[in-house]
Amino acid sequence: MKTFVTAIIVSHNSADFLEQTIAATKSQNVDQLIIVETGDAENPNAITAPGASLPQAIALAERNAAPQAEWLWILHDDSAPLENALKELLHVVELSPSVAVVGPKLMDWNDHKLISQQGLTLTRRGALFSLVSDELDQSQHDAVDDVLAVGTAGMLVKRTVYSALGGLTEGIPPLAADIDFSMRVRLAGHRVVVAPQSRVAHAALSLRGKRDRTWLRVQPKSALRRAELQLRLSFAPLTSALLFWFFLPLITLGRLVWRVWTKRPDRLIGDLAAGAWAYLTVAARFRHRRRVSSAGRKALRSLYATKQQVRDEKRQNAEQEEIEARLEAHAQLAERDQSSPNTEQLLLGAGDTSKTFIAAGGLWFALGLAALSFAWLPAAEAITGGGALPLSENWFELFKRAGASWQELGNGFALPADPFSWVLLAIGSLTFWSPSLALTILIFLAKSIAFFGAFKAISLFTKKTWVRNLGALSYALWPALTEAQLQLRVPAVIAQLILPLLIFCVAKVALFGVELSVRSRQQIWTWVGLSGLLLALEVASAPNTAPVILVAMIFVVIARIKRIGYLIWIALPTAAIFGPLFIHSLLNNPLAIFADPGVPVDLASAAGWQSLLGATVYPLEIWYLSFFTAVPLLFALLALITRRRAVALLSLGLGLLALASARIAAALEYPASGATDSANDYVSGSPHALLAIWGLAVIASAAIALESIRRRRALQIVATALVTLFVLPSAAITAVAQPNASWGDARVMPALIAAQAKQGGQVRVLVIDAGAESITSAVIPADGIQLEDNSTAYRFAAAKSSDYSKTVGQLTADLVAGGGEKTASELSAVNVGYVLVPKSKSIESADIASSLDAVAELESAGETDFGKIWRVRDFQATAVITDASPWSITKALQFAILISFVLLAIPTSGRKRTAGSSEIFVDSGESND
Amino acid sequence: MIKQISAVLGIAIAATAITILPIQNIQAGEVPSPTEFEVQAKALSLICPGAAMNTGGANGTAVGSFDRIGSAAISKNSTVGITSSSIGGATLLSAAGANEQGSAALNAGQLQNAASARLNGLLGASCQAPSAQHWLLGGDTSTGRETLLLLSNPSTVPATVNLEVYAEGGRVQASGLSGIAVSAGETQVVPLSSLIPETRSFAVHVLSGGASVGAWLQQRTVRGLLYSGADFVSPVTTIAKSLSIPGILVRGAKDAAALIAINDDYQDLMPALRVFNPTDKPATFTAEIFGANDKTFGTVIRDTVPAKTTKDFTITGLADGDYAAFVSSDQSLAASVRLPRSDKTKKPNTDFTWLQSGQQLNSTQQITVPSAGIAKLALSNPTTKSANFTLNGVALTIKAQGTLVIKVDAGPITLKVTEGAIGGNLVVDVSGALTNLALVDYRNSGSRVAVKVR
Repeated sequence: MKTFVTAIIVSHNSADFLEQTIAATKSQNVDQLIIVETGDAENPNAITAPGASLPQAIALAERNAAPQAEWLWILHDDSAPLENALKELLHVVELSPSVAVVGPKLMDWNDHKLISQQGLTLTRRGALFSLVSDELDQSQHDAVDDVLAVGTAGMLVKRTVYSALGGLTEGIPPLAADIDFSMRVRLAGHRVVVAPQSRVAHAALSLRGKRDRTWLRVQPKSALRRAELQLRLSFAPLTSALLFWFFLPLITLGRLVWRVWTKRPDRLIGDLAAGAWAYLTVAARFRHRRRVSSAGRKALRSLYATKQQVRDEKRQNAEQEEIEARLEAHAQLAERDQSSPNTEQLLLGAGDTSKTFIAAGGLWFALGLAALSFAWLPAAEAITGGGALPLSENWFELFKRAGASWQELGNGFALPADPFSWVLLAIGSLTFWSPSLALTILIFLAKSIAFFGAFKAISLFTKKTWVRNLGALSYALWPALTEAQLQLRVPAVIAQLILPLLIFCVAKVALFGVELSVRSRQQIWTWVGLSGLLLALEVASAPNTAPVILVAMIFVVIARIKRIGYLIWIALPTAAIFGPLFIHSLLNNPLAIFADPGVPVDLASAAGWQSLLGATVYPLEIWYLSFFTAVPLLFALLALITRRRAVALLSLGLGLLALASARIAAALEYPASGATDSANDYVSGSPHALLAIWGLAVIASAAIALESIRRRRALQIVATALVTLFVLPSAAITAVAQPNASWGDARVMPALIAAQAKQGGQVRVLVIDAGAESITSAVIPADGIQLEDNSTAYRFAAAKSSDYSKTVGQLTADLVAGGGEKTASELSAVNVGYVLVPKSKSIESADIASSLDAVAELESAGETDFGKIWRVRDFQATAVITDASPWSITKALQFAILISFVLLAIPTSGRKRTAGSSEIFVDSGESND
Repeated sequence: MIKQISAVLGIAIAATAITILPIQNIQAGEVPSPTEFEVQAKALSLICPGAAMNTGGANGTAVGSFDRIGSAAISKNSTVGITSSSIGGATLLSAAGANEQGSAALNAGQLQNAASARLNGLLGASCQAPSAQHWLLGGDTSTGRETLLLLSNPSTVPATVNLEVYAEGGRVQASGLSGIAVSAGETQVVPLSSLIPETRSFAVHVLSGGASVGAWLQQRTVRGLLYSGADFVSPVTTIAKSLSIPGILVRGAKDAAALIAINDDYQDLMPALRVFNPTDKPATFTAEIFGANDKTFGTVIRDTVPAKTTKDFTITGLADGDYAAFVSSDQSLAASVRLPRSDKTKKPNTDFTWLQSGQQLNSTQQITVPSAGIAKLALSNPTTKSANFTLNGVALTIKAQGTLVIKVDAGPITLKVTEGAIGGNLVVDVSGALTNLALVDYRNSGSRVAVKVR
């Protein structure tokens, strides 16, 4: 007796595929064909049910099925049965009466030899798992029969079972519906099997995101996660389902961290959205709970994916990626017309043939440069002088300042913190027990670190080890770096150390460089993470480099438009930490964005010719020593007559842009006094980081020139010239120069006041500085002004007069005039417990000191290294100073993004790297709907 | 090849263009500007050095013994009541409740014609406002000359004073110059003659910590066995590139020449200009000594003073007459003039006074002329425009770089500068002995103080 089969094709606006599917179905000898159109496409042969979901559409068709129909064959508009598909399915059910659901082997729509799915199951962690994905069909899976579930595409289901179970469940995520149904079939005592001989071509439109949103309702990635959550809540025992729901926010958070760690940032939004959805629609989720006996659960479990299966899947995905990465590298090589032996090496995974940093003797050079910097050898934990101040002694204070919206100067005020505070936090965290120490060591090792970075950056331009070393040495000895180090311009030093590393990392993401290496996607995400963090550090340290970097990034994106998916993420941390200050500056003073963070240090000169030579002061105060830099400049020009002049031209072009920016940056003047006092009203911008970009461009071009010299004799002469005329003199200048630095403990206030500050409380200190024309005063916290307390926003806001500044001004005036009747109340109104007159030899300062001696409310507390101090006799704090929370929404967001990038930047090695690639399910592109 | 050359040229030209492009400085944002705040000024207090100080006890041999000789007369004037108190022999005058500051609120000078076995001469000084630092330009510690530094601390807290002495060879390093304790309400005498002996020319920088002090030098001269001349040196009021020193009233020039001819020890009977260069660079100055009228001819000294150095320049060739010195220099300087007075017929036959450069006055100045002797108000105009003023209501003019000497009667006088600025010294002569009271205008920082809150 012939079995009566009703084929149901559920269509959703895919006329092209539908036509092929109908034709293929008709050739399968089905007894009845019902087409349900759930979209708004016109189809005279179909039952139209606009907006119906898959379960509704199938239910509708089932009602229209002929009464004698025993089996329903569910097909999608994009699943065309191949030859004998139905016959093979029916063959299975004939052999085994206990089978109620049977699925075909789903093949790739375009390549019928590729299995895209053959049965579905879950992993023990609850993730959807496709038993076979993207494998060439060599009959290797033909022995499989019992599975946990099959997808609805091509599913043959016994009508009685279908009716008894009430069909597919409406109201659960579409991707969960088929698994849910199959599991219920199994729980009802029937078998669910696959028929490997039955083959159906499937285009997987839903999971590839090619259907309109009305079908899955969300992004495929989110739909997958929704399905997983639904199944978990449906089938887990009640207590564990409840617990799972209760902890879902935490689980989701953990998942996000894990997604970043495994370099799958593309899955973040889907996971987050699905987590929120499941948490908030808990009633709807629990409505579809299934009652499962423990025996039933055990039976189901036996069909879950085994650990071995999951592992195999992972390995397969990793291999697949590796192959893709090599193919990509190969394509790059072809693009560059390079010889074929390289290709072979590349495909074997050995791209990098040059010496590594250590093999090239880099450590010895770094050590030598550290020895040259002996003048910066830390004598104690904190360095002070020039642009350097100690960091807070307490790491938590440092953390409090980073990204804060509340500044503690005066009585406190709401202004966005400098993004540089994150940089200080990052540095301070290296030696969290004494944050200043890391900064002190960083300044000492600046040249060595610059050498390392420059070695990496220059390796993008040349393969020759000695050229790399020479170039890196030139960068480490470039005048702008030496100068910033001498003047202890902390942000400028940091920016110059970061710069070459940033270039190197971005080049890795964009696959630039003379040498290609094979990078898997995970590895590229690591570089994206590093690049993002380095860019944030760079721009936060030297905001005036932002325009040049932006132009450079646009070039990179244009040159590697295919990699925009990676490159675009690099800007995220920078955007996050600059957001608040950017908006604040835009509303108040747009140029303030470019103001250098940290302690303002004035610029001696901004002469054009000095900028060209990479400096703003004369080395050792001798003007002609500046001209040593002319040697690499001349070599850089030579690169323009070599074969690789295009690279040199681009590099020098960007360098010149940086040089022009440096000149403009030096011409911009910003208010100088803020958290710290300054002799001048205005301070010029620091062009050092921009001059370093210029320097790196020059050195890179010079490296190209050196590499292209073939004649040994000429090479010897040129290299000797560079060493004797630039490297050695610059090294000598570094060794001889004396920084304006002193080393001590991290205290910035007299011990008496510092001790008071440690006890906490509301004590503020009034600092009175005598200027030639007027007196400057400020109220500061009792623990003083550390490096992280500096705020550019405050420097721009200080000009505005407020009630508070008037009170402080009046108090200062009264004290300077020897006190008045109101002095006591004025002191308590601003919580001033101490008055400090910083050390100075000026007449005015001595006069102020004698006036303060005469004030009845003050008693002299002696002379200290920081100046003279007076204690307020009967200290009373009347102003309530709010102890602001270290957290704010903006800070939390910035922190989350930075931490995510840190996770991204940490390489996930070996097997861990591919953890979770069972989720590759999505990317391998098979549909189970 | 053309491509290569054009690339090189292109980059080189672009680099040159960027290098030589003039870029205007742009100021982004505003800086805090000083705001003036009304404050109540402290009551004006002036301190007078008190009677002349004798060293060595009655025999002149006791070490570390300082005692006062006689008493000094204070001539003072105020719009409000004056309270006075003794600060270890020095006198503190306070005028509380005055509506304004300056000489109208309180002005005072002291005068003492000492005639004792150990100290002879007319000593006078304008009473000064206590301060945290003073520059004293005068004194001599060579053989037969003794200089004491008097430090008075009128406050209620002890002061620690450090001294910097700059002589002909630059800064003098000597023990005892630092950490000098001056108790509250006391006067401390520092015998400079024993700390920096045999120093003809020097300037003393007094730096006080803890409290403001009053400071004077007291110089006495002994020629052989004859104590002949003494005076106080008051602090410098002006350190500038352009100075004027009025009141060089030369009398007995012939007697002086005769005395010098007999004895080398009388060399200092010639007037001398003392110049101190407090800067870090050598100063080249021109001192023009102008006569008060057509009959008196002055002289010109042009010389260089190294950095941080004090030098004396003898002013030769001045006949009897009234003069003023005008000093101009490429660096800021302090200058004073030692003005001797000789009369062979008298005993002691010589006296001297240290004239300081005049503080530039440009408003109303109250002066109280002491009742003893003959008082002459010597005024000078250091500016390049003529200055107009009234003296007790009588309108007068001093031409640019000119000087005017007016005999004034005892009692308060009012000098009102209506245009320009003038400096002045009141030169007092009591029967051949000589001293001067500088015209000074002390103001406590009050009424309005400019403060910049950052």
